[in-house]
Amino acid sequence: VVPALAAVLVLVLVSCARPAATASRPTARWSQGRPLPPSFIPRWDVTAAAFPPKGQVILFGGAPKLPTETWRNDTWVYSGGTWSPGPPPPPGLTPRGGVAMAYFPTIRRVVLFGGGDGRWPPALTDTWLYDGVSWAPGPAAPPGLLPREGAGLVYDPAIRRLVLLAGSGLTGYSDTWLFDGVEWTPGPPAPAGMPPREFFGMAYDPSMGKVVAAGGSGRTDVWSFDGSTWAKGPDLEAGPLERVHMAFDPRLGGIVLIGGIGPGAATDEAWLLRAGAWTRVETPAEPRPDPRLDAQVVWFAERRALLVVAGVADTPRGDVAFADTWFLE
Amino acid sequence: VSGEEERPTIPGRGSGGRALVPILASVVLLGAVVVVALTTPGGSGPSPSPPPSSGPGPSPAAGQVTAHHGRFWLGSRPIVLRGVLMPLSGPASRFARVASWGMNLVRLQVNWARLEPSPPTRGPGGSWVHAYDQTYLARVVGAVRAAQAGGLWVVVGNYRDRLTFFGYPDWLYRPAFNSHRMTYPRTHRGFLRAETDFWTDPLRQRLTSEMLRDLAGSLAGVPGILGYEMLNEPQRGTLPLTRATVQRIVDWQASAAGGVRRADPPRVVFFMAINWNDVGLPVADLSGFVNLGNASLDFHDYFGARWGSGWLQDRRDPAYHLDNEHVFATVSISPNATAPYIGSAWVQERQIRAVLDVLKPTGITLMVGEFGDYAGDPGIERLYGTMTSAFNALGVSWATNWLGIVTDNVTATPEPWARIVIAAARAPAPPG
Repeated sequence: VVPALAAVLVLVLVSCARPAATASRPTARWSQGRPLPPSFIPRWDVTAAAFPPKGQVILFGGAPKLPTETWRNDTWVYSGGTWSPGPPPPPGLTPRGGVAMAYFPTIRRVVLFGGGDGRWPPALTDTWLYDGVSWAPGPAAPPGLLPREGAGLVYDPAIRRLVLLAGSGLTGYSDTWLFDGVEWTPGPPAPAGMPPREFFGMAYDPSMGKVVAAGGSGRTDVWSFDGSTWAKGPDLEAGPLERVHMAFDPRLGGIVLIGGIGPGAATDEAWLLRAGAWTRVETPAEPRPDPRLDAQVVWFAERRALLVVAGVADTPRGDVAFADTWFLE
Repeated sequence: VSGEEERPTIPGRGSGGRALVPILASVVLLGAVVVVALTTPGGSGPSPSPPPSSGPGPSPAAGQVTAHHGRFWLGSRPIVLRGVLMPLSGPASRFARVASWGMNLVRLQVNWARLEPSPPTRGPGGSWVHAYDQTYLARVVGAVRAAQAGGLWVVVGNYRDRLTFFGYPDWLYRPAFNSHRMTYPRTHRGFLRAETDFWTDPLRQRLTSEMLRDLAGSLAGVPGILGYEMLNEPQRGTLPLTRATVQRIVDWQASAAGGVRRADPPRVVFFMAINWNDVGLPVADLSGFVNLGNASLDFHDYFGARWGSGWLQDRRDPAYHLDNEHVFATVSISPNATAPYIGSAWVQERQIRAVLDVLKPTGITLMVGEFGDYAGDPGIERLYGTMTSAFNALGVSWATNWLGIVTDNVTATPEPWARIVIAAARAPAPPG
């Protein structure tokens, strides 16, 4: 009798555990928004950022996908469900791709730093501020803040600063810089084993109280910044993704990483970092965006969804880019 | 990229960086060279000598450069070589001009089709009697001597001649001179068949080896020669992309290099895996060249460098370690190609590190013998900048595609981006 009871108990425990596991798996669905207008030339290395005061998402710049194209300095604004051309670039805000860009609530501006163009050596270390109407020059970079593209830039409310990480210029970087709205100052040195990276995901997780950086290094390493130091982990479950981006999703309660490439083909998967672990987000088979590199990911509070826009298709020559808009909600 | 010695032009590459599509009599150009600092005997060694800086006049390239322990050496000192790929023809003054840019290396395009325009004849005991064009050979010697006097070490390249359909002497493709007894048609399919058959053609292989051996023998004793290239960008034709194919191609080159070594012992022998980017290198057994010693792997950098390391990333892919990344891996080096260069220095570094990681256990020295781009690429400055930055950061020797330095005249005004390459050539070598 005792073994039989034990067996029944085990069965009961197992049957209880299964629904619990299913319930913890993050789920979401994709829906399509209005694409960028035809006058937007799909491109590489465009950057997006939210501008919450006006409920906007802005796109800036980019790099050519065809020899007949060039680097760009146009701004596009998503507002009211539609993309439209933003303010013209002022003199000095030259064409460039791979800028670092993020909203800084303290000064109520989107901050843009650096980027790269076709010239060599790289020279762009300028900072620009967007107030919802126009771009204005920001403070000059100190000498140690070298020109770069593909850097990460995220606001850390705990220290009330923007955190700039890594990127590539004369070589690859893994340094950290902080911006307080007035000046750039060096952040903590990169810990041993933290490699350079570019075009990677970076987001602030309020539940952790940390900035998280993932992908873009050719490895699966993930790093978190507590305002004073970087610490490693947890590694990406999806493999060493590159050309990937991410944002915090308060509905899912964690950071969501979308798309990217390597190993193998580009992906359309979404991964959630929550409670110290990565889990693939379950989504219906249709509709869903095409797999892509460099999909821009922004939390769009007005719709309480992640807005995903632009990116590049996984084609042999890299000459197919996207102008579509999606929501993961 | 294959080449001939007239105006360098670059054909379109096959998608995915696989076998070069033979654009009939096109195949083209440049190449070049050199190396790295991976290991030094006994740990910290002497710092590499920088390339000569511009001065009142060129100093001859004196001494025999060797390759071992992952570096090039001039005597007991490591040396970094930086230079250009050049056609054989041109004024002698061009070498001093290149040296004045801080360079110390030239990779000369020698064409077998011109060296041996007439087929060999049967000699006693099954031998072949070759009749080399002494005028052409004298041009080769003259160019080497002029380069050496101008301050440049010379890699003698084995480039295809675009004035011939197959790149090598036309007579090779007649029944009397290949083991398959084929008259290869001058079509795309015929070209592929000829490329494929070479690897199972003892006669064509023998004639190629004999040419390489005889060329080296003719140049033995001529000062300034760094070494000899076995095959520029070996093609597998339609052979499957397998470890066996890679090994066959590498082993044949090692065999040919043995003959070259016997003919001209002190020189470096250069080899490649498959194609321009050494496809299959990670799975190749390089012991043939390790045993031979004084050997260098030639790598041609046409990597797009938008992500990855150049090697196939997906371990689940059956071609892992046998192929290169197929997405955005290559730059457009043809006017009709479609991908502008937007790569980064760091991703270029990752690619070169990947090659160095493969070579490190062997002690074989790396040379980036070619890199360059189509002049109309909006990212051309960036290409030369990111590539030379990566090479220099890693202490790798290099030779740029001549096309990227000037236009169609070797004495013409350098293209605007030449300043980037020249600045890189003049940059200090990294510490040992």
